[in-house]
Amino acid sequence: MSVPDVVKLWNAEIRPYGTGKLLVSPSVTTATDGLSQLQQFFSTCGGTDNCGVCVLIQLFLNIILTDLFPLDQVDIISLHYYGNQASDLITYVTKMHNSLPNLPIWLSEYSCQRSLNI
Amino acid sequence: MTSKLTSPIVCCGPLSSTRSNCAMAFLTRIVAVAALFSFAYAGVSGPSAAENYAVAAQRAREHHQRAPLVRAAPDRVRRRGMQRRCKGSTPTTTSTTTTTSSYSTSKTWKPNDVTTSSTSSTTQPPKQTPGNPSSGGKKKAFAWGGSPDELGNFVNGHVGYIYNWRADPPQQDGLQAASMLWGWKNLDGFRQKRSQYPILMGPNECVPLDLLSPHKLIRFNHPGSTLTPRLLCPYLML
Repeated sequence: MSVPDVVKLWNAEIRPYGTGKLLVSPSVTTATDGLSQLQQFFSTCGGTDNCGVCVLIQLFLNIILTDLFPLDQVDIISLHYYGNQASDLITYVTKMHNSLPNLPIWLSEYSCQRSLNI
Repeated sequence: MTSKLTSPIVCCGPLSSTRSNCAMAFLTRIVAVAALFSFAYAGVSGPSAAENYAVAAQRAREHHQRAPLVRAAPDRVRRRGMQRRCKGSTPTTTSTTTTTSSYSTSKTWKPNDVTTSSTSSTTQPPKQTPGNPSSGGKKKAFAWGGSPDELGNFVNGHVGYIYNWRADPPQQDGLQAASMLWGWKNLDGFRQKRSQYPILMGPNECVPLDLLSPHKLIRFNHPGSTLTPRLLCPYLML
């Protein structure tokens, strides 16, 4: 699923129904640079359309809205890790935490990626 | 009092024969005169000297009466008193001594758990998020792929959450269930179930379109997903 699709689902199906609930961010992995995906998600999650002009307007509005309501719609960041080095996992989680330090992190999936070969 | 202030310094007797003793006596008299002056000044501007002395004596008596009680108090009482003054260390000590589980409630929702020291984390109040208290502050969760009937065999005091990549995870006492909107494939079910769960999880994994290879399409997109590659605006290409 692409980030714009995720944004569309989030804004239509999760965010409006989040009152009184914990909202967990879309899960990302190390495999496809989850940090950049999360950053794009947070920068565009106010949008509802993928057309160029609409997205430009949404990005502009989000710059303003982000200052007023910073990350108010996400309570927890969900991460997945697949690798075979514990140090890589620590680095990955630390990097995410440093980038989004105000949100707790859930490691909702992890596995040794090469476990079948061991 | 006046006679003392104006009386001369007289060195007499066997000890007065040396110059140093006379100097010491002179200094002692100077100190006494200075003390009397200050005492007299206090008497002019405030309570009398006798009243000051009475108050001081009373405070001293009270102080000495308390002293044995403090000395007799257990060490933990005195430590608690110190912790009131040292705010930073109080929560950590309390949580480790009053709970039997290592997953204490005071340790939840600290965004800085990963990289910061315990000192800095204890100074920040825990984040108050809805649904948190009923989990008991537990940090572990079930990513559950088994049968709901078997779940009870694995529930213990250390696990607080459960999800199963679906909109309707099994609900079990002691666990907070998270309903996941996996993607387009379970949207209808999520719409029906989302109001019943205290936690809503966003889509499972998102992948930038330009990185989607056939292998990744298979891995990240469940059969039936409506994902189709599209032409996006350049600035949306990751």
